[in-house]
Amino acid sequence: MEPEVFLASTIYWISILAIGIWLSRRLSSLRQKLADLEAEGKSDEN
Amino acid sequence: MKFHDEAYLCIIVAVNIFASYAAYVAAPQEVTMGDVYRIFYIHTPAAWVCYLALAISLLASIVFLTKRKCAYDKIAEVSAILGLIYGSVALVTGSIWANAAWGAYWNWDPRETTTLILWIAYTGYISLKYSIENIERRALIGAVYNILAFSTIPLSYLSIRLWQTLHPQIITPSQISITAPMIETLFLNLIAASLIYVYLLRVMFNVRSLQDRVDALIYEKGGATRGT
Repeated sequence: MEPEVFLASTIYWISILAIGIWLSRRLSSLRQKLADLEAEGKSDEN
Repeated sequence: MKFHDEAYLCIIVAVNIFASYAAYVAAPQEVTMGDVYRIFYIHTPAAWVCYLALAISLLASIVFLTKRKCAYDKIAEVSAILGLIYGSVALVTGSIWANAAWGAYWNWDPRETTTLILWIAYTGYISLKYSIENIERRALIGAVYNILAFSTIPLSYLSIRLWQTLHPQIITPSQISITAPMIETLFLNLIAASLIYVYLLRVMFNVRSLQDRVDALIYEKGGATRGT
C-alpha cells in the first residue's frame, strides 16, 4: 500500500472509530447517570 | 419496527471489510496516478457523507420550522456535527491527494476553497447552537442559520464546473472517466460509508436525547444545565 493511501485510510478509520467509541462510552455513562438520578428522585419521594 | 443494533453493526462491518478489500486490493491500478489514486475510495465517500449529512440536517431544520418538534432540531444538530467531521476527513484526505497529484497540500483550488468555506459555515452553526442558552431560541436561530449555511453545499459541489480547477471531474453529464470496476468499487464504498453514517446518526441522536433528559432532571433538582 502506498504511504499516502495508508495515511488517508488511517485518518478515515481512526476518526470513525474514535467517534464510535466516544459515543458508546457517552451513551453508557448517560444511561447510568439517568438511572442514578431517577433512583435518587424515587428515594426523595419516599 | 425494532432496530436490531448488533445485526446492523455486523452488516456494517461486513460491507466495510468487503468495500475496503475492493478499494485497496481488487480495484485495478490507475494509469497516471498508479496506486496513489486509491485515496479516491476514501476521500469521495467522506465528501459524499458530508453532503448527505448536511442535506439531512437541512431537511430536519425545515421540518423543525414547520412542525416545531424538538426531535427534528436534534437530528439537524447531530447530523451537522457528523457532516462537519466527515467534511474534515474529506479536506484532510483531499490535501494528501493534492500533495501526491499536484505537489502541494493546499492550492487554493476552487473545490478546496469552497469546501473550506462550507466547513467554516457549519463550524459557525455548531458554535451558534452551543452558545445560546434558551432552548427555543437556540433551535429557531439554529434552523434559520442552517438553511442559510446549506447554500455552501451547491457552491462546493458545483465549484469544479463553475471555475477552472485542478480537481479531477470523474463523472460529467457527457462522460465517465473511470473504468467499470472502479465505478463499482466507488459505489460500494459510498454505500459502506453511508451505512456507518446512519449508525452514528442514530447513536448520536440517542446520546443527545439522553443528555437532554439528564439535564432536565438536574434542572428539576435545582442544578445548572446547558439550556433552560
